[in-house]
Amino acid sequence: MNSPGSHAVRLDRVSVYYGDVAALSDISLDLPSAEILALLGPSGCGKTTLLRSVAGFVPHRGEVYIGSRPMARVPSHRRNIGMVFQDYALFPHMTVAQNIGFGLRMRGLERAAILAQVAEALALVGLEGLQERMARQLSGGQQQRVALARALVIKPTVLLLDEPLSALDRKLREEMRSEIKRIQRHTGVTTIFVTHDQDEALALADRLALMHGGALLQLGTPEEVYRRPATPFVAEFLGAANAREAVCRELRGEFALLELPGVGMIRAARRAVALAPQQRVSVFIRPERIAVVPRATADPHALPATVAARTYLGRHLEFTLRLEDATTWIANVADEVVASSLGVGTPVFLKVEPDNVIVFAGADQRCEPGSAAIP
Amino acid sequence: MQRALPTERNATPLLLLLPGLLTIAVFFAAVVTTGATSLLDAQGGWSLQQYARFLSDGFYRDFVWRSFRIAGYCTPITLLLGYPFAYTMSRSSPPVRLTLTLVLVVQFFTSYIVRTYALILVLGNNGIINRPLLFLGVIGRPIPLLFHEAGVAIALILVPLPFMIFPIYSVLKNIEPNLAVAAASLGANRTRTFWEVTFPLSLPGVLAGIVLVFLFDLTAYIMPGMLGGGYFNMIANFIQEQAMAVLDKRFASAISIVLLLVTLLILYVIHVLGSRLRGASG
Amino acid sequence: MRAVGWFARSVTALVVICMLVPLIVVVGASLGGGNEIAFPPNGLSLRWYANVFERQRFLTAFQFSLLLACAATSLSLVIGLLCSVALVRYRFVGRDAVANLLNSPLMVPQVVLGMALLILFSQAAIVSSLIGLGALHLILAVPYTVRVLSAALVRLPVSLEEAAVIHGANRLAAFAMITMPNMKPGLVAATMFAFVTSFDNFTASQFLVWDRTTLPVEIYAYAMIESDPTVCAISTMLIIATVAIVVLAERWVGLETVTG
Repeated sequence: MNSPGSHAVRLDRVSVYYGDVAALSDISLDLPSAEILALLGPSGCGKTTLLRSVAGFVPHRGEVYIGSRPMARVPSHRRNIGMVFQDYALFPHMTVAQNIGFGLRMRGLERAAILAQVAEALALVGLEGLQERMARQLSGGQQQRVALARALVIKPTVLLLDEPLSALDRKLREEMRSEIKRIQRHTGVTTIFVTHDQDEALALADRLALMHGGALLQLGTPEEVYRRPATPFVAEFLGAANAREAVCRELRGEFALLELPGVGMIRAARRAVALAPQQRVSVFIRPERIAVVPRATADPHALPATVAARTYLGRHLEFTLRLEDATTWIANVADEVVASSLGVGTPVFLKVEPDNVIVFAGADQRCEPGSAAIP
Repeated sequence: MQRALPTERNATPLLLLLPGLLTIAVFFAAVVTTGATSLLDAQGGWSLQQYARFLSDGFYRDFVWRSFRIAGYCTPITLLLGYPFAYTMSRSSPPVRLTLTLVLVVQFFTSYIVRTYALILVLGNNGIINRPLLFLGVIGRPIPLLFHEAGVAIALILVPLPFMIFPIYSVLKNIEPNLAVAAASLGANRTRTFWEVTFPLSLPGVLAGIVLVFLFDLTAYIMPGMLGGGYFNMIANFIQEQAMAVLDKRFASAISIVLLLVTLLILYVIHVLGSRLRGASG
Repeated sequence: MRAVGWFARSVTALVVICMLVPLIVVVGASLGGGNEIAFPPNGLSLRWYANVFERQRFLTAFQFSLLLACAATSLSLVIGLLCSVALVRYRFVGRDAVANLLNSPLMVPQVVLGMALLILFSQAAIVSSLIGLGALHLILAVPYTVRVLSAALVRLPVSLEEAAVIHGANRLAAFAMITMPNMKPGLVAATMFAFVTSFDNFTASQFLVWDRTTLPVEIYAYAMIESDPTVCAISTMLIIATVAIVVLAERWVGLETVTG
């Protein structure tokens, strides 16, 4: 295991080309030891290719370093990596014990040592006593745990997880999520996992890499990526967002006054974005960050709207609000008391904290990776 | 779940394929040499004399016609016998299916010679077909099945049955059972369901079976040889005679190449038909 | 609604009778005491079985057929494995063409194949039946092994091999310890196809029996000349062996791989 603080995995300009098509272009990142990195993005964004490049299954340009060692000449079976595959890939003709002990066997351990460590690993994933069961007789959740045990028992330098939870049903998925996190914290193994499920990424990751079209759009903590998305694509992919074009009218101290044509005016925190009057911008506001209040006194920085629909989703109510220009926004209201006073047709004001207004310079910024972004 | 494979650029697949390709190379060399031999005339020069000899003489054409004729009427009968068998196999309970499978597979793996010889015993004048019929007075004289077309035909119908049954069974068992249920729920009775849903879907298997059996019958050697007793030779017997008895390898080569080309032609036609079928059924 | 109508069931019964009766007749006649073939047999005796073992020709031919079949089977299995890995786990230009090429011997009538090899080997001055028949049987077996093993390999997810590799096995070890054991039904089926194709082969083989003969050739020759139940005895032994192998295969791996 590496000393804390050192970089367990480093990628230096890794690219993968299939003919002329770039599955990965110029990916560079550093992952400190003992952290969990989530690779998140839509299908085809290259996240699995990236994972497999670290594993050594995909030829690539650029360098991969594991524990400061360059992996260029190191074949996959010598990289000391543990991996859990999307279909678990348990060896069907072997027992649970034989599956888990496989890596230890390859490393030449003695039978007694293997048996002991297998038992330990089974205890770690909560499946004591299942040594002699045949791998193919296990349920999905059990297979997943065995796959995890198999990957961890060899004390790998890096643990790779390829969409580990996608084959499980919702309840099991949430259970396994916390399991995986607990096990990772316990063992301290550096982990990279691939997922297309945002909740999973946000819940499990210490660091999140958002990818699209083979490129790395943003790397940061889940909070950073969620609250300060680097590009409009990131803003729209992670979580929901109401998008609109606006024009910057005035700069007032730490705020910028933005006019949403036909809708109203709001204030946005300026932060590091270079904004100037008359500049066209794109605005993204998350549904859960909108406060919906009955229209009482006039408020220059609130947007007038009417309640068009309400949907009860258990955890919160989802309001569809019709703005002055007849388009709609979505807002989530968790407080039932507030929500109960907002029947369909009620005139309301939508208020947003300036800090929660996500702004990108330039108009028509939807879904363009690589556009001008907040650093 | 298979991942899409990138196109390989190094030589690994080629190395892996080498022994297999070498084996095929020997095979091709043999065919080519035969082709070359067929182009030699009696004096040793290059010509199409052997082909002309074969294709012009009525006597030889009779062989060809006879072989096509018998293959032509035996194959449909094999289909008639084989399809219900395959259907039953695909729709039966596991114990019945297992029994049928065992019988079928044992047939398939039993040597042609053994099976043909067994038919000799059955079809002969003293065989279990003639003896009871004679005994019961149904017929006055034994039915001449051996040494006649009838005996050979029976053999050509029965021996290749596995080749008809396997492809049809394979397709039938993969047909979605829900389709029949859907048809029934829409009001179709069993017969209509069969003819309008099941049978059309099984056509690829039927086609494969027909081709295999037809070619088997056309190029058969053992059955006409053992059951025809020299009185009912087919193309394959003729080729062997020319090569080994008459020792006219050049002539035999020419006939072989003709037979090969006919076989390839039939396979090609079926292949095209099969693609059309697949295209049409979608 | 019964699953299978009366027509299908009667035809099936008829076919089963047509398949089994001849074999039963052969087995019955082999136990006959008389000098001619008779069914039902006149008296029961094993003398014709004894006759088989007394005939040196049969024994020598059997040994040679066995030798050829073992050689052809093992070689064609190896070749089949190598080719199936290339065809299934790699993608390259001309992959479909190669698959068809490897299948091509099956498109040629047996009599043509036998004669073609006779001509080729005459030109190459090869006079050993071992080599000639070995080549023939290999050419006949490879298409089967490639097809069956490819079908078995295709069903195996690549992730299994990758899991083995990432946890410490090199590619060869992964193939031996993970891939091959999971191809068992395919391997058994391929072995059966290859062995039977070689052992039972007659039509093409008869062109290449020079210094040594095979069992089918001997049986055929004997059957054309003599009319005593010796051939029945040999046939019965072969039938029993076939049934045993098929039943064993069914017990061990099931017959789905064979029936397709």
